[in-house]
Amino acid sequence: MPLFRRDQPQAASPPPPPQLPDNTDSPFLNVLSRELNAVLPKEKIVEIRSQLTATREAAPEQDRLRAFLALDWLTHAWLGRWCAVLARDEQFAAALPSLPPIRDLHTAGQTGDLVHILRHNEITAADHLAQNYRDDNFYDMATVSAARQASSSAPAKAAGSAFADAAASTLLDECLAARADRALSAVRTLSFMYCLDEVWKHMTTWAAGPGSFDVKKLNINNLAPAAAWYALQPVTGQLLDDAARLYLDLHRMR
Amino acid sequence: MELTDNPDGLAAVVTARNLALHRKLGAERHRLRQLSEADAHVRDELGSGVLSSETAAALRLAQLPTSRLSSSLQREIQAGRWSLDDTRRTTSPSPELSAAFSETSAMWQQALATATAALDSSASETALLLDEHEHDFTRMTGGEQQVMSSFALPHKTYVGAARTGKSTAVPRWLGLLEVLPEKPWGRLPWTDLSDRNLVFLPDEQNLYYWDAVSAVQSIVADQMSRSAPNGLKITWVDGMHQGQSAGVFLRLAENGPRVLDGQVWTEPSSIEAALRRVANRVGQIQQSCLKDELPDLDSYNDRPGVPVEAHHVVVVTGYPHGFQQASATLLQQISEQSYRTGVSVLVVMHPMMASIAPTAGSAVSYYATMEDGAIPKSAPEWCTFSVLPRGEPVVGRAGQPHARVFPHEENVAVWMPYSPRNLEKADQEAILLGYVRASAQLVATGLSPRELAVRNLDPEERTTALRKAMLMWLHEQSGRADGPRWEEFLTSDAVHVTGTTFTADEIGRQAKYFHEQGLVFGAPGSESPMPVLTPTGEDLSMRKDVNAADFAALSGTRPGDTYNTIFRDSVTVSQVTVGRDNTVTQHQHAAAGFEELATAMRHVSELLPRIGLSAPDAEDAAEHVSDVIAETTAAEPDPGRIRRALRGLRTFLQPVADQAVSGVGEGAHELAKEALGHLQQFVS
Repeated sequence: MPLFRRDQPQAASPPPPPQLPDNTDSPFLNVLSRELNAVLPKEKIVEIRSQLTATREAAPEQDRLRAFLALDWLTHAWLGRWCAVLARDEQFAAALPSLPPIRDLHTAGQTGDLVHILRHNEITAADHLAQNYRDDNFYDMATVSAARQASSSAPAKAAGSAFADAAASTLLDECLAARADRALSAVRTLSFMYCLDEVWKHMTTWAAGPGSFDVKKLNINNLAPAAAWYALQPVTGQLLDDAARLYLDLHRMR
Repeated sequence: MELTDNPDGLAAVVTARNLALHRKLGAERHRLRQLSEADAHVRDELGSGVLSSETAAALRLAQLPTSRLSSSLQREIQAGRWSLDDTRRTTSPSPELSAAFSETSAMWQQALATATAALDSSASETALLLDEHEHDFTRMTGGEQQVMSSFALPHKTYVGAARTGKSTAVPRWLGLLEVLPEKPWGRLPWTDLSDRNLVFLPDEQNLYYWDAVSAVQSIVADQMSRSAPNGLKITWVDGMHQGQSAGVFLRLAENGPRVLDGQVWTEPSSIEAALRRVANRVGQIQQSCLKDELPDLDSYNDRPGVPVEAHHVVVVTGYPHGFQQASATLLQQISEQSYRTGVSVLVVMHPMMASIAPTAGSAVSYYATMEDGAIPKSAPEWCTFSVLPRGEPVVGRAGQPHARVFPHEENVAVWMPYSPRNLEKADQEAILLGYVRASAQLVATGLSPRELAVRNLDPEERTTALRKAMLMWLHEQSGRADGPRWEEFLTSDAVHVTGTTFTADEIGRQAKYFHEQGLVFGAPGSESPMPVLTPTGEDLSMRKDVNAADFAALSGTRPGDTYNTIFRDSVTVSQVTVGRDNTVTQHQHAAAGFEELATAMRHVSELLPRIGLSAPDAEDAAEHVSDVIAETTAAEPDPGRIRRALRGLRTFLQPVADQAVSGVGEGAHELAKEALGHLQQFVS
């Protein structure tokens, strides 16, 4: 029998991750909090939580106002930032500020008309893909796959989906009139095109490096998605900071 | 008068209604097309539990109530089971949401069926509403309830002989407007009062150049068919085909040179001169006839007791061929001022100019609208929009000429199919011959032989006409700085347009009569006092309805100022002096051997006032004529003095004959040549 028995340490349950409150009286804030919890870094959530004050009972009018502000930010600031940073549709980014802020179905429709124009990028992307990337070429397909993977989650990881859903939970018709869903898919397309170019820069280096093709394949399959996501990080980082600030503002609204 | 009582008004009203109905129909058709295009996508999404912004827009367009679907979706979003981000929808919709989607899908299909039925109904309704105008249309083109007078309908022979005397507005048949081409009765006459400018823009695809020329020939022939004798003047310019575009009107160069202003003008210099004559006439009509009192030439011609001014058609084909900046500017000025002055400009542009007026579609498929055009690069450098002639553009579209109509209470014009009248050459010749014959029998006023006979035989009619003409002439001369002289009246248009010939003796007697009745007095103390209207005379000169009884009512005499004037009668060269004793005497026949010169000078003295020299030149020229006549009637004529006077006279006439001076009267070139012809044998 051992003289000194070492007690078996009890397995401590990990502390629950910090969360933004999603059980308030505001359905809007609940949806937004729930979705931001999935995309914001823990330290950012902690920082936000430290600044939150107790919410009072939410009035429907207040939630509507919050939803309008969220929709306006999504279609003007968020979408505009993507267009400007990804250096595509500069004209669209320049035209956005001239639109009136979204305050009703009519102004939402005006924004939606402009957002709808971005649909041409989908055709452009498809053409670009068909002309420049061959299905039977590994390097081409690895680039496309990485770009698609990164761009597919870009709207959500940049908090766009969170604000879109939060706004739609209160103002669905206005969100659809402003084509918030198309704003998300437009960013997906723009970031896909951007990622293609960014990943291909590395792909040529990887392809020319030493080693067998199998090794190269293994490395590329690991490195390409990371490179794609890394390319988008400057934008998503900025937008998450903006989203955090806006969340606080919306939360503080009385 | 109701708008629908005249073809133009009816065309405007029906066009506006047709546009409104088709706009409504077009909106419904467009909506149905949008719904139909979205149908597959909407059904697919609603069936899959998806609502994208495109589907939501289609549902809004269909005006479907979607509150249940929206509420269900919002609840699903709040519960985290649905998202606007389609990549994040992983769970299948709840039964409540599925039911809402199914209900919306059913409503969508119903809305699509309703929209289809509504469009069919609107199309039928549109056709029925337009059919309401059939009666109005048929009244315009014939039948027992014909609105337009038979005189205004198209003719194949000359019918204007009945319009002797005053020349009121002449209706002109421009063709048929196909306001409702899908209706067998849907055509309306396109007419005007010979006051519209038309600019044909052939493109050699939808409107051919020679078809446009043919249309213009028919329009001119139509106006001629109704014009009173001598009531129409034509200036024809063809710098492109050397006069070929004039067709049968070329015969006017021989048979009616006064109608055609001599010939068809083809060279740049003669085109400019011809247009300058028209511009001068326009200016004269504005200043002398219309002033600021009358709206247009027809109003002037309708006034009793005034000389009738003819309407004028300026035809230009092949523009801008043969034109220079100066002549183009003249044509543009004429076209801008034409409405008031009875001048109508008909232009057929060179096909290269079609680019200045491109057309576009309209709410009604067979109507068109005009878009901004451009001057072709092949046009001359001076050719800009600012110098183009103003007028109604007739353009080619869909293989047919199109003419402009302003729909009632709308600001934007539309162009609709237009069928120009294509008058056979034989019919044009018949009209031309009839007009020339009728005009040849008449004096410039268009008085009939019967009226002339009455005026010549009836002393009262004759004297009254002369007095009215003299008073009116004196009234018109009142603004002259140099003062009028009765001798000028004898050679003026004023005596010419009375339609009869007066002797100097008659004029002298009436001058004396005016003086005695206190209607005219001269400047006391002057050696050659000028006749001036007294206030009573002024009042009488301005009365339209003055007659013999008015003159008879005047009583008393006003002996007083003496006046002198010299007349030359129309038979022999003699001088008539109204002396201080108010007697008129004729004397001094031409000396032996100088009779021919005296006769020539009589002709020249008649022509001089019509040449339109400037006032100082006219005075000097008249002085030379007086000098020659004085010598021919002297006991011992001085040949040297005659020669110098004749040479002096020629220095005024020759530049006009050579077209070297501007600003002279209408037809001055020919008149000066005629005057020089009289002098030719006497001047070395």
